[in-house]
Amino acid sequence: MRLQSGVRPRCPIELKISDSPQLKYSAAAARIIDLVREASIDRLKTHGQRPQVDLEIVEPKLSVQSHWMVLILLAGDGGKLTLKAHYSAKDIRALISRALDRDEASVHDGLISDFMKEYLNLTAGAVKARLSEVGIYTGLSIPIVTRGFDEVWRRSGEAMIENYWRLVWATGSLGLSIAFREGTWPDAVNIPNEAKRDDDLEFL
Amino acid sequence: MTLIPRLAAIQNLQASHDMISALEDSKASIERLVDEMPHAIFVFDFEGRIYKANWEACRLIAAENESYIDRRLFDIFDRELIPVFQQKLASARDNPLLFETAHEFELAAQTRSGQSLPYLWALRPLAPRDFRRLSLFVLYGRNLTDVRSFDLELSRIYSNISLGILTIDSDGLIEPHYSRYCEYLLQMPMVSGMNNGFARLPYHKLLFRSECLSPEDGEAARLVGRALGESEHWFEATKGQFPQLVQRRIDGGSLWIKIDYYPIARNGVVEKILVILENRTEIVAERQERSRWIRRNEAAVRRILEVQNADGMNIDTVVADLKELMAGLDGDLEKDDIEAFRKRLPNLRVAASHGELRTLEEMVEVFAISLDRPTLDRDMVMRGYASIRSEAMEIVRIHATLNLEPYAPSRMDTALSHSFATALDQALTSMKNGQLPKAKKILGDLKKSLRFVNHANVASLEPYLTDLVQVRSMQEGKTVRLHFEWDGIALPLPKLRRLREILAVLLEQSLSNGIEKPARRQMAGKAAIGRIHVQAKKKGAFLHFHLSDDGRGVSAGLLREIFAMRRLASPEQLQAMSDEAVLQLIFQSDFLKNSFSMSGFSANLGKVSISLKRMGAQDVKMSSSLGRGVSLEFRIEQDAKD
Repeated sequence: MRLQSGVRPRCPIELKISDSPQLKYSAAAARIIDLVREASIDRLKTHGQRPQVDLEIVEPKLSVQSHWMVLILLAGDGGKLTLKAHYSAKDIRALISRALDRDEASVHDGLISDFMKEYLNLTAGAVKARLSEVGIYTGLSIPIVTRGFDEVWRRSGEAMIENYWRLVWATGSLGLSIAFREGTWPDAVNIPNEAKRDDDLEFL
Repeated sequence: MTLIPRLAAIQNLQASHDMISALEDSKASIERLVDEMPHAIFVFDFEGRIYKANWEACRLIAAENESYIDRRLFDIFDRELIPVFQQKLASARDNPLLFETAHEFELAAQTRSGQSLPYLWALRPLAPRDFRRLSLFVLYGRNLTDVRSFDLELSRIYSNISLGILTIDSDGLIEPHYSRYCEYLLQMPMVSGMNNGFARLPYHKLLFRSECLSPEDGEAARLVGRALGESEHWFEATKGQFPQLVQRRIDGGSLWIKIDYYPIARNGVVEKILVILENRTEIVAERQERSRWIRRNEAAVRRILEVQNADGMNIDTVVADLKELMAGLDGDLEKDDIEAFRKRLPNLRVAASHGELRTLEEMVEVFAISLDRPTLDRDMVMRGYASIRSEAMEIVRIHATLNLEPYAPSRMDTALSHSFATALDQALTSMKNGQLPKAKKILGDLKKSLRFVNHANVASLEPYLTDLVQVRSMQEGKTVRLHFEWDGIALPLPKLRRLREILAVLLEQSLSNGIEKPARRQMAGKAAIGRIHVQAKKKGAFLHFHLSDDGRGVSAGLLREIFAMRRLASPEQLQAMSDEAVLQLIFQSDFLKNSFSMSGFSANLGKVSISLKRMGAQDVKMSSSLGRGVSLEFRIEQDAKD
């Protein structure tokens, strides 16, 4: 689903939040957001076999973004972070169909859930790896697929950083969001920028 | 961390993962159930933005499954109804606790094609306890189209079916929603015609009015109430004793209602009784009429046998005596002279005994005993005598009908014989006196008078024709009053017999095809009793006959169709003719030849036409006014030879 209203111009991944002159988060928080965004787009390109993926920054109008949602928890000393992907089965079915060269009809709901769980697992795993570079050791929960509607039950506490973006490819899109407390993992600010690596593995 | 605690931690983590996976599967299956529900479920905010919609809800908003985000719920309502819905939302928002139980209401939903569907909605806030943070609402929608169409169908059946259907509840009260026909069958002032006016009435008050019930039926009616709460077995064993046929008096008439009972049981105990009422008035009336007819016929056969078994000469005398005695008894009662009546009555018993008319004899004997009471009520005497008179008159009529030559005088009338003798004396005296022309004239007159010796009064046909009409009208369920005017006309016997045939066919024709049944006549604004008039008049050398009825008449249009179908004339010819001319065609010779190939009405008229021709009838003229009757006129020459 492509949101029409509130859409800002697409921006290249190189435009980082930490470089933004109107930075509203701490430098460590901005770095964490950048890390997750980079990981999300990189994994989609490899996992979804989509070389061209754009990132859209949008202000979500509703707490519920899509019919489906997959979420994973990254936790360790100094804080925890929730990463969610909001998607429609229709868009992901088309993505899998192309990636696996299968008819859309043969892509059943279970495969879609597994694909998205794996995608989020890979993304969170990449973030976990980058955090470990500066001595932040974390663990990952198993990814859980649920309905996007469950967002209405989420309690948003004070000093929570919530950030949302959207990854768009030719035939669809999915939304991603993270939530963590201000002050989580202050050492993350020291994570260096990483040159593009060619050894990304495909997991599926 | 050493290896063992680390392994334990990994095991704990695995257990947590398993539990989370199980919860995930469980939640997914519940979500699936919600998605597949046949009713629509929406979750939305105060602005109408949809947050969740199951598949039926998606169908209603014409969206693909899962593609409801950012759609507006209000779009499913007609623009004019949106404020109604919003007002309910505002109430739910402002008083969430009052809406903890969903508020139900009906509001039509508008499909994308503009079709309006009846929907029953249930609205409640999603989470009243934390409502201020995000005002979400849940709306359940049930499409009532099928229910309504079923209701409509049921209502049509209930309105149109000519059966009364109702149920008696466990308290013996009539349940609402009985069939409309009940209102006709069980007419009750005050409540009939009101919406569900019979609801909550005690069953015995509605079904079994005390004024129409015998004590036995009253007990049987109470048994119906006792069946409630009893076992099905008891019901089945007892229901044969429930009233099966009850009579209701309405609008001066009466209805016969057949009642069937069916138990509505739970766990083998009768909770309610389904009652089906059927209007059996016509069937009962027909049955009563048939048994009356059978009784009458049996009585007629008995009388015929009595008359036939009687000695020929003896019965003639007895019948003559009966006539004379009847006249005398009638006169006594007219003069209110009960004593004279009482004295004359034994003569009637003697006459009956003499003619071996056992039934009449017994009737008179029983009646005579009742007259021995010290105080006599005139009405009682009249009632008792009426049945005796009816029996005696029937015997007279049957005697007249059975007599092979009923119209011929068996011996010359005394007055006629006296006038002949006088005339012959005058002729002889005239001849003696040389007054030959006078003698010739007297003898000529005598010759003319002699011709009438073998004549019989046309009025003598009356018993036969009356009997014919009575029997036929009873068979056809019609009531007819027959009037005769004979003007003292007499006809030779062969001609009289032919006239009898003609009149019989015409009367039968009038009864079968002309006179309507009483109900239909009343609907047409006519008297319930039909009328047939037979008139004969002398006019110069001709006898004029005129028969008329006030039945449904003859349709000239129908005759045109029959004639055209039988190829008796071309449709063009028939169309060119006036209605009167079409009616006259029946009596034209060309048509007579072909009339044997006809059936029913036209065939009967054809037979009449042939008989009229044989009889030398002239100027046969038929006229009819549709819905008002038929009349037929003809004339015959009085002195014409057969």
